[in-house]
Amino acid sequence: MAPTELDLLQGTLDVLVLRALSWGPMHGYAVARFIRDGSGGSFRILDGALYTALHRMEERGWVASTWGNSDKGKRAKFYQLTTAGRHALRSETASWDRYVAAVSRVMRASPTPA
Amino acid sequence: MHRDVRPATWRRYLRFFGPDIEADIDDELSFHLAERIEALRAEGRSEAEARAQALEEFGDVRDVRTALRTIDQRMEQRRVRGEWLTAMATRLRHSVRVLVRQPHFTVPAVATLAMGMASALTIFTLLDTIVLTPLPFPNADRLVALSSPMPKLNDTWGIARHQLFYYTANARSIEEMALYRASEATLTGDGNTQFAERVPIATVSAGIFHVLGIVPMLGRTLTAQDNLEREPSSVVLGHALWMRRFGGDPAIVGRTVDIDGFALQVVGVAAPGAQLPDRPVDLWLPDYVNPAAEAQNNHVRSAVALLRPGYTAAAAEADLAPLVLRMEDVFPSAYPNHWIRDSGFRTAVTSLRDEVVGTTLTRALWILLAGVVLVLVVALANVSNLFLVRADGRAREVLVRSALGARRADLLALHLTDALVVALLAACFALTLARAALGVLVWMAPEGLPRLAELRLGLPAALSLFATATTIGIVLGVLTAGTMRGDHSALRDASRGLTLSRRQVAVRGTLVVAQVALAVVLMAGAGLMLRSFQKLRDISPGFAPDGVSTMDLALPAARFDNVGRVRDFYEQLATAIGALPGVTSASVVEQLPLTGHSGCTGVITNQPGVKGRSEQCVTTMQVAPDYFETMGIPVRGSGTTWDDTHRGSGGVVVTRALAEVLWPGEDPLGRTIRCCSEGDGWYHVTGVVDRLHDAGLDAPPMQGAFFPLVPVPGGDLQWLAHNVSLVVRAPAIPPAQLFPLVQREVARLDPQVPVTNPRGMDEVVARSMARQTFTLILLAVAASIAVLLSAIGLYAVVSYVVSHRIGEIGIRMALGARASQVARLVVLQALAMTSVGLVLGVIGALVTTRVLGALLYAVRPGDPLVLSVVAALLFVIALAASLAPTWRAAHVDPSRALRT
Repeated sequence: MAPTELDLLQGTLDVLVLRALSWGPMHGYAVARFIRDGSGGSFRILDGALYTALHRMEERGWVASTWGNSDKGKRAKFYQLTTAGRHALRSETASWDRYVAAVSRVMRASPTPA
Repeated sequence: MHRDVRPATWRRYLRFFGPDIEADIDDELSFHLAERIEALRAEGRSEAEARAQALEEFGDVRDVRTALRTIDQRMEQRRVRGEWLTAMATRLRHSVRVLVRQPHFTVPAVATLAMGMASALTIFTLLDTIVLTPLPFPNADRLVALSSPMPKLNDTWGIARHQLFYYTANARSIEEMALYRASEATLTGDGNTQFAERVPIATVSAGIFHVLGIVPMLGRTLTAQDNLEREPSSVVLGHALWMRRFGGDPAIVGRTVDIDGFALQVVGVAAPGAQLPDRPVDLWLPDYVNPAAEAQNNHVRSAVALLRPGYTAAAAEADLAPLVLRMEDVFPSAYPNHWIRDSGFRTAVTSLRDEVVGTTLTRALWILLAGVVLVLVVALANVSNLFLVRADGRAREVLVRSALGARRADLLALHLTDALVVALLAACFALTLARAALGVLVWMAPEGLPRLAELRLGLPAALSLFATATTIGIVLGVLTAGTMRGDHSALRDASRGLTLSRRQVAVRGTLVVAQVALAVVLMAGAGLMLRSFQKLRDISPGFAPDGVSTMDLALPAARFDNVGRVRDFYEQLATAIGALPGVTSASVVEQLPLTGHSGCTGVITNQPGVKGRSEQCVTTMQVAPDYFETMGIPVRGSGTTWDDTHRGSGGVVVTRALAEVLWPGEDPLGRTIRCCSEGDGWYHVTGVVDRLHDAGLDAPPMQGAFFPLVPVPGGDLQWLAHNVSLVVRAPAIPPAQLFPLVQREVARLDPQVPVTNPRGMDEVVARSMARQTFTLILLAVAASIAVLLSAIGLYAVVSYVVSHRIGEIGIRMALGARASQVARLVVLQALAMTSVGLVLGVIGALVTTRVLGALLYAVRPGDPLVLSVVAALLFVIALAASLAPTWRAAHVDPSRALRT
């Protein structure tokens, strides 16, 4: 089944969040900072969408949450990858790589004479 | 900090009562915004700028919050459900482990409940299929059957053709009406691959397709036009026949098929499942029903009608009543003066379901259901007893648990889970048992039991079984937990209690008394059925069925179109079969006794004065010579011989019951009668059959006349006996062995004549009692289960009491009581309970067995013999059940009993 545009965007956000969490447990703000810094500001994701993604992934069992204290000692909700989340990251990364490779192949191709 | 996004601190304490989803979301989001604002400020923005940018980067806070709340609430619900399931699973595992460790409790409890539920489920399924489920027709609730009772002639006729048009045109209650006759026909073989075959057919008026909602699958159904021809020329095939015999040939419409030697054109194929009420149909033929034909007093057709919405059967009957009274004026050719008033002729309307199922069977099934519900109650009493006994054994465990802080709800849950596990496990077994029982029932069911083809154990029945089992489990659990309450003192004295509390004994005693009483009621019912069955079997049918085989023959009407051919065929056949080794004699008859209603015709005597009553309804049929010898029917005088038949000597044999009506107080030998119409010749009575049961063993003896195959010269006896039963007396040859021999002889005479349905006459007799047998067996099985369960219950209670009185018995013996005295003590207690149960049961039986009324033959519901035998039997069983515990009590060793 071909992914719709929305699915693709959603999937992209998910894979970015999973990737962020693969470095260890972090709270939502840290995830946002990771993505913002990592992209160098080249694309914009609303922070709200990020939280929706986090909660949805928690419901799906990809991440687990606990309340803890931030480095500055404030109460914050920390997210952590579960085993299922790790599997998801692996397969999402693979399909993302395939997608990128396919797009760039098309971009480099020149029309062949018929 | 930013007060607008911070939740009130106190709300966090709500967390003690489960997570506060909204507060958590607010906390999480405000933490994010605070961090982001701080970061932006560190880059040098003003507070207001930083705040504005953070909010812009975030998107609509309110939307996000709503979305998160939806997700989190869903998650929370799932978590709670999961925890609950886990707790349930833990409890369940615990219950199962405990139950597995106590097979002496679990096995009898599950088995008893399963038996009770299986019996109830089986009979309920039977009742549901046969009585409660609507017939398999669209508008089944508006379908009725019509008939013509004539109370003053003590007879019921069918419906005449002119009534169809008259009622359809004038009765407001009838939307559409149709006539039909069900019979059989021979599909002629083609001489090589296709054999001649007897198939069920319906000869119908075209309206039947609309009334019963039958649509064509190919071609068309019959039309009113088809009904105008005297001889049918078109036919509609049933779906099953089309598939079986014509391989589902899509080009069948337009072809001709040979039926009884006539070529009929196939005009259509009916949709699958098309049938008459409770009768499969392979061929639908048009009847001759012409509005232009003269009305005749010939009421021989069955009729069904579709009532207009809003009319009940009773309302329709009232609607028809005035029309019936006017029929003398409307149809003077059919009804002579005052005939309708003199005969009491009317048109009765019954719902088609009552017509198909019959009120007696409905009643029998309801009675059986009541019976198995009693069995279920006995089973419940028994199982509650088992639970109570077990609860006693667990009293200490429960008390320790509660002392350690288990709440009352926990204890209730403990009992509840155990009871539910037992009940649901029993339900699973009950489902399997009921399936098997239904299989056996269908196999042994009487031929006439309607709608068995529709019988299956459906999902609704299974679901209601499990619902019932759950209820039973809850009741048992609560009951057991209930008796534990307030018994805290037991922790102190349960270990040393020498006697049982009065209350404990009373509860168990009551259960035993109830079981015995219910068992008496059921056994009385079964006993009464058994008695009437015996009385029925003691009636001689009037013939000697042993050693007589029978099978059906059908001559193709097209070729056997005159008396000579028919006579020659039967004579050659009877002679050939009579000559077979081991065969004593052979003959043919139009219809065997005890095989259903043979219809009746008017006969006329030349007795002056009686002529006015000549329409006496008499069973008439043609028989070949040697019929009475072959069947072992004693005849005073003589029957006809083949010589007489060839000469057309005109002898007739009548039954004594008929003779007493036609010539009261006189010798019938030599008297003359004639059949049916003025044109027939006169026959003289040559023999009298003393007593012959035709309509059923419990029906009055047949009033009948047996005419010869060939009419007297000058008479114009119209009927030719094409469809007959062959009877063969061959004491050493069973029907199955005789069948191929007969087939060979028939095929030698005419390969187009099918021979079907070989059976022994003893089988015919047994089948005529099949309904009574069926009810009897079911009641007997129910009663046996009830007795077995009560015996187990009594045994359990007595041995329980004994085991709890061992200390007391030990003291008694130490003080010098003899073993016999101790035994008497125990037996008397058991018999006291039994006696109370017996008395209550007999009273109950006197009241309830009255419902058996119509099912009984020559036995009154309160039959003292049956009741005393039942009571004595149960008394003996109770004695036997208390024997083992009594023996144990009498052999108590005082020194050991007192030390424990």
